[in-house]
Amino acid sequence: MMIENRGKDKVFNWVILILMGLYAFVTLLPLLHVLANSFSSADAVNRGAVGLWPVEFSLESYARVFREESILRGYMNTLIYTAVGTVLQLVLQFTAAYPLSRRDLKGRNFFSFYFVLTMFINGGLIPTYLVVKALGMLNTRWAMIIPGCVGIYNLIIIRTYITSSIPWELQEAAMIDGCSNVRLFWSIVLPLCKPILAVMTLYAIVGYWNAYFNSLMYMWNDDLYPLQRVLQNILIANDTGNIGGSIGSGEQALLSESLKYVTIVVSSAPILFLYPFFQRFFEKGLMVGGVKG
Amino acid sequence: MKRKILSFLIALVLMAGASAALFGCGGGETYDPDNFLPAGTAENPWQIVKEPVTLDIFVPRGGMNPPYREMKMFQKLSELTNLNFNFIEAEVSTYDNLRSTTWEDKNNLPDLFLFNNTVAEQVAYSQFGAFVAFNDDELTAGGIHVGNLIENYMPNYRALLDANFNIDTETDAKKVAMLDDGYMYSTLSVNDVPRDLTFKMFINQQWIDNINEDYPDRDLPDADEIATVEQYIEVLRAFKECDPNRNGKNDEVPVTAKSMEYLSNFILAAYGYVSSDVEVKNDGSGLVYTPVTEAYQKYLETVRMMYQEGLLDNQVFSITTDSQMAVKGYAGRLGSFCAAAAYITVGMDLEDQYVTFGPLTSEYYTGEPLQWGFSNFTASGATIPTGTPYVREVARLLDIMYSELGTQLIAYGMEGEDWTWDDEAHTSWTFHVPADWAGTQEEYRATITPNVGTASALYWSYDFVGKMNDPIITDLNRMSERYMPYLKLPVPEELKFANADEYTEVSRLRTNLDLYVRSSVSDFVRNADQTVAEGWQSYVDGMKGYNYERLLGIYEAAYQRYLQGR
Amino acid sequence: MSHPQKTDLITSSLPQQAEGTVKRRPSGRRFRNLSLYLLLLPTVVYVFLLHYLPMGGLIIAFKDYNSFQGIFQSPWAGMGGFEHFYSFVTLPNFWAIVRNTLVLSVASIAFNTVLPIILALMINEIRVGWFKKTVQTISYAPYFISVVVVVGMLFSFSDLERGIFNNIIAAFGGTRSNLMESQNLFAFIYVASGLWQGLGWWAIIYVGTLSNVDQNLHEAAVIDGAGRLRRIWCINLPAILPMAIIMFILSIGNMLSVGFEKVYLMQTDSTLAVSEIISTYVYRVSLGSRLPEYSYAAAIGLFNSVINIILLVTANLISRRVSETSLW
Repeated sequence: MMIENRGKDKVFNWVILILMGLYAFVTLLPLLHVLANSFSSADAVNRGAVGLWPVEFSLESYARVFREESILRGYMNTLIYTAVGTVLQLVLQFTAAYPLSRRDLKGRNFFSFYFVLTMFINGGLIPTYLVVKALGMLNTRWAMIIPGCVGIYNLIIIRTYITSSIPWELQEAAMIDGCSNVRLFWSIVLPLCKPILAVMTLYAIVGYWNAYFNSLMYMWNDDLYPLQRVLQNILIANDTGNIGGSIGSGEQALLSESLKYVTIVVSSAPILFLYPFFQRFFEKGLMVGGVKG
Repeated sequence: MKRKILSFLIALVLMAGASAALFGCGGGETYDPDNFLPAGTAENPWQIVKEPVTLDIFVPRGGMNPPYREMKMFQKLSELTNLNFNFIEAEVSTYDNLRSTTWEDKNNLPDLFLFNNTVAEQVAYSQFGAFVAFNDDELTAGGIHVGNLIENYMPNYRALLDANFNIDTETDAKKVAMLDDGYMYSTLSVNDVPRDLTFKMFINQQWIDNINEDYPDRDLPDADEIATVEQYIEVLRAFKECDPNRNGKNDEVPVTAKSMEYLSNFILAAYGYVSSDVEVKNDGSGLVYTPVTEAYQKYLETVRMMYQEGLLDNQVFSITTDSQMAVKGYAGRLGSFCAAAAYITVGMDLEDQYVTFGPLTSEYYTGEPLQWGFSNFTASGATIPTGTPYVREVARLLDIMYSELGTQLIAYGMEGEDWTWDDEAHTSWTFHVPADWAGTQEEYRATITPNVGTASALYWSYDFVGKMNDPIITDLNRMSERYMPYLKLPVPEELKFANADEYTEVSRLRTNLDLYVRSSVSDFVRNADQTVAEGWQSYVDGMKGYNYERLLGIYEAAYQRYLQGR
Repeated sequence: MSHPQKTDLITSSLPQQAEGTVKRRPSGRRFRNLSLYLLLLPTVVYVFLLHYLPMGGLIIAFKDYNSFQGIFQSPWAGMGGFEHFYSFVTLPNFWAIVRNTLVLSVASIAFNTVLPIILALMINEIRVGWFKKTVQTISYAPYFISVVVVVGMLFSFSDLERGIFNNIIAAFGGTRSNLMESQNLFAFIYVASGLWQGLGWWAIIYVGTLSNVDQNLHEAAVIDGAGRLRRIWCINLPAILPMAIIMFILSIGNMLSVGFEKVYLMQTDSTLAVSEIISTYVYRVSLGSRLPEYSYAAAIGLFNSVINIILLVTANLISRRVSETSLW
């Protein structure tokens, strides 16, 4: 694709390949450990006998997790929260980040500070709860979607991306041509934002997918629980460690350790398979980038 | 895009409005005093109201439980009493937060806080009249005079209180429930089941037998005969030096614990104290802060010696979960450990090798053996926030929960449905899990009662619970009973601090001190180069810096009030 | 709701018009700026509702909060409201806690800022398509493993007898030890495991940014005879530098806010001297306590915030002078 200096380049490519291969290998080992544990018998996991390959291969823990009807509901709920939340989050972040990126916007510094400040001071759990309650979101799906919807950190990243990667001259030229701000944002800036849009979409999806705390604070209706909450409950239900509690029977589950690993696989597998899809946008950006000058 | 945002904002406003309307309507209903049935009806003595009434109940929810409305015991109670329940359920991990926010909204307080009440809250909020006093002769609610709830509407509870719940203890149930102003703002949470009153120390009897067989000159005492910490250490040494698990490898771990805290309760008891905290002197004359006592120094020396000799698992300070301990337990490498039940640590296969033993004394302490124990009574059962008109209804509901039926319901459900008596004489009963139930027995029990997971109960009664027909539980019951004569509460449960500030201060001082003690114990025990005596003075000075004297002072004042009240 | 505000915005944008460099269509400018503010409005409102409104609750830092009397009726704390702040800074281990927090955060910031950039630059140089994808997917997978399990693995890998770390140490002739009890290793284990988990995830943002680099620049550089390293240094690195600087400034502003959960789970009695940090202490007196001290926790939180903001403003100021990149 490019004219590159052949000989030196080959060496360089090999160095990169080896270094990255090593890195990937080191990163992979603990992941295999998680996977192997999830497919091992509870007994083997409790004994700590599992390394990188399942010991006493068993699907018992998976069976335990999927026996729960609430799992399916959890998946559905999480899908809803993720879909709605991601769209909302992207809209709010991008519509705010664009004006902040405009150097001709008066009060831009004020608004930046207005946003950034909230990253460093927060009112605490109880006041936030009271606001969520006053907005009528308690025990509704909104409680999982609205609080934490705007990530100021992400907003700042988007703004930085626009200011640093999209030439101001491009926008100026369009303005001279009489392009309105909204059109400028929609037709010129946003298409050039594809890579960062992909990153932010990924961030949003992952954020909503893993969200858990809001459900603890703001909802007690089982029908609304997200997947992570359902999985947590299964973990707690199988925890033998309630040493201070009353012992009600001689038969107690000893699955808890292996369940921990299973819940990770169950909850993160769908997201992991999503990643290659997003990678395409990074590659495409590469092509678009060449066109833009 | 803008339209989307706009509609989002509109949706927000609408939701806020709708919910305001919803909440607003809640307070509108009027209370009908004649709807209440003081003694039920001829056909149904349990019935509480003529026409159904809905009570709002704030409860803790464990991860294991289904929603409260689906739990069998509350469905049953609803059926019996004609009351409906609306539960506000707080996950254990955010319970305190949600409870605080519930108090914030005075217009929507629940009719009942069930389980998990704290004395600190009662002391702090009763000054504002936040709670209904159960023993207030002048009580009015819902516009009428209702008088003393316990006397008038809670015959079961009253009888139990008078009989101290038939528990043989020095703790006075009424005094536990009563604040210094003479009022009871909470009903009691009662527990007399031995297996849930202390941590048990297990030892491998099989190993002792093996050693006595393989090494006759050792002549180890049976688990039952181990009476002093010195004897115990001899046994541990034998575990270490011989090959009691007979696998040819020197892989035995003589003793371990999930954390030092659990082990220290047991070993320290051999030196005359049961906690690393403020504690009553054994003659009752006053209080001490045990971590600065000479006994604590002796205890530390012993534990250090055990650790340095390899008798105490050298990983003990790296163990933070049950499963880390279970790794060795399942592998058959554990000689002795502290746990709620042996099978949790060693699994079902090895479970029967282990028996409980102790409590121990030592050459230093030769008095009566001591075992750290929980209180039979805590003032945590149920509180009624002031403002609800339904105090009589709630009182009768609670009374049912303290009755024989109630204690059975909250433990294992309905007789005939969930469990049945095995014989005419009612000496034992069997719990029935449906054949098609895929989960464990405890998971099934969680669909009946909130007792699973949160350990919530008003009366966890040995008279019933102890008769369960289950070999492992029966064994555990028997093995736990040995500790009962020796249980010592660090401080009496009747003791109350003067005001909210004192509770806060005590809580904070203890948080700081606890960290310092834990950190120091680890340093003492693991340090091979410095004896305990060498580091003792600077440790005690450090403790002064964290103001243990102030902590002790607050406790002393409360203890004096307690002594006068006796 | 926003009528008066709207006119404000319009008038306040007027002077801008005169200064603006684009003068061709002055009549359009007014609406142009207005539409920018309209774009901004929903997020501003959102942040006001869900972030600024709850800040009123910070007042409990100066009070003896009890939920019965509520946030606004609770009595003021002693010492003119500053009692809780005083209690915190006079803790015997106050400086130890602050020092421990700083050690963890400075180490984290240093590595977490630099290494993701290097990783992204290297991933960007991989020329084999499938390999690039595989490396990236693997690198970001650990991010999904819960902290509880990560810490669980740390304990099991550090196991004295069977842990893989100790096996490796023993294989190289070292002595086995309880790694999780080592005060010297605590920060290292914390940072290294954090990198294992987050490196690939943090690199994503740079990988994304790099994909937007103008390929003409590269081609021109190649024609000028620039090698790969030189092009990375002169083209790729500058392209992601503004992003890196912003992220660095933000992390400086989070200096005292090391998350509690992982540290809390990693703590053993033996490492408390170096592992007790501000957030774990706050947890102990609030959520982790049977008697949560909301006021005390809020006071410590506010103390944190103030220092964080001072650091942030300073870092931003320096950055604006030095690199022209700044938050505001």
